[in-house]
Amino acid sequence: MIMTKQLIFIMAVATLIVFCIPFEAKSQCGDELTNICHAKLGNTRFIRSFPVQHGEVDRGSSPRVTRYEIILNRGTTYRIFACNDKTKPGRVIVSLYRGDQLIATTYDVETGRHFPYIEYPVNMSGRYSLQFMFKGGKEGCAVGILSTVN
Amino acid sequence: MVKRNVSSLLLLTGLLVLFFVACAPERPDDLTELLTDDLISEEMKMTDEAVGQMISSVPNPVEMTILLQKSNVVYSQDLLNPSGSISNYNTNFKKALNLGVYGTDLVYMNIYDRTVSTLSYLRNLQNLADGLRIGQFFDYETLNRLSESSRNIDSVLYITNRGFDNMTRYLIDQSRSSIAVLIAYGTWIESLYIATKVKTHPPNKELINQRIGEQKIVLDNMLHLLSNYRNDPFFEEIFLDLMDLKKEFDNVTISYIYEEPVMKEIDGKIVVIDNSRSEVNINDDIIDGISKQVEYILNKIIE
Repeated sequence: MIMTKQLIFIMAVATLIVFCIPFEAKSQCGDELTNICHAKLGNTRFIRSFPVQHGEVDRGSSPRVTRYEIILNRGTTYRIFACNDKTKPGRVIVSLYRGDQLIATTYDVETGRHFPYIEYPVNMSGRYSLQFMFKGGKEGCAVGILSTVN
Repeated sequence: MVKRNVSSLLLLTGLLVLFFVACAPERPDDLTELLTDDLISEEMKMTDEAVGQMISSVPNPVEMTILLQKSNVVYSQDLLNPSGSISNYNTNFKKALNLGVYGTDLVYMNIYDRTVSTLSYLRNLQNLADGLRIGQFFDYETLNRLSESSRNIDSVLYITNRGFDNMTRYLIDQSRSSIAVLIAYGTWIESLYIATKVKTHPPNKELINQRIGEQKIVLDNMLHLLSNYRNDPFFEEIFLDLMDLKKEFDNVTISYIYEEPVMKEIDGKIVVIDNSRSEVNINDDIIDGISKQVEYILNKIIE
């Protein structure tokens, strides 16, 4: 009977470890991912981060899109970085819009290539938006970083 | 035998309870007294998601300060809110507004490599953030250590800005977007105040004046955000002050010429060739009118 009690105890502790701790420890989402992305900025200055986390969408549904409004200034060169949490299947696509007009995107539909960042020397000050989605509507976590080139 | 099974069951139940307690997401603090979104007027109501999307358009003071520094504008400590003024900020409205003001001052000091003077400002930011129960996003110890050397300016700016980003997101998640909007407002007004008060000389004067004129776009967004909370008399007052500033900005004209942008792949990255352009029409009289109204607004914030 003591064996049974020990077995229950071990199973319960194992459950605790399997279901609780790994979710907290392995995911790069949040500040950790922002820090990893920040380390890639090179000769630029961090302005703002845009974390995005989406669950997987149902088959046949459109991928979810998260949108942030930004104001960009003429005479400044910006870099827009996209960094993925590699523990999730989704790869982020970041697109820059001015109104409804697509200015640039980190994903080339024709070649299927992802690009690490967009560089944009701005000639027109105004409202822009950054739109984030995960390719194929997969579950994903990512961070976008807006920075200015020094 | 039954007794032993019961004790095993109790042990298992206890461990399961421990599991749920340990794994449960952090419960939001009971912050109901700290400016919740009950302030939002029904007919104007923006969702938290919409506030989160729009608040990211409020400029980071880094951009304006870099422009000033690159334009050879001389550093002036007199333009900053004295660190000793913190004793005046006893309400959550004042704390939030001046958290933004001191945040801009900290950025200004760091970009101008006045890291030695930042200690009291760092302390103020921590105190105000603690007062609003968002102090967990402000890494005082690291910032204080990094501020000892001017080689760490980029890291200081990164940690400061990341902290403000996290504060904003947390406040919106906690249905306290009004606080997030006040912080953003304080940040922007202080930045605009510094830009309108610094001594500038041609040809860089023109560049700075243009950037001030471009704040007309930000002003529209700021009015939209603040209008969300006009049920509250304090918000109504700052909204009306901002409407007076809008009258000054109405004299600024911004013209746009639209052309198709071109995307090019260069060295494995996407580079945009922007063929559109904007032109800001502003003169010294308009700058003077904007400057006076911004000073009036800022004095109310920091008094």
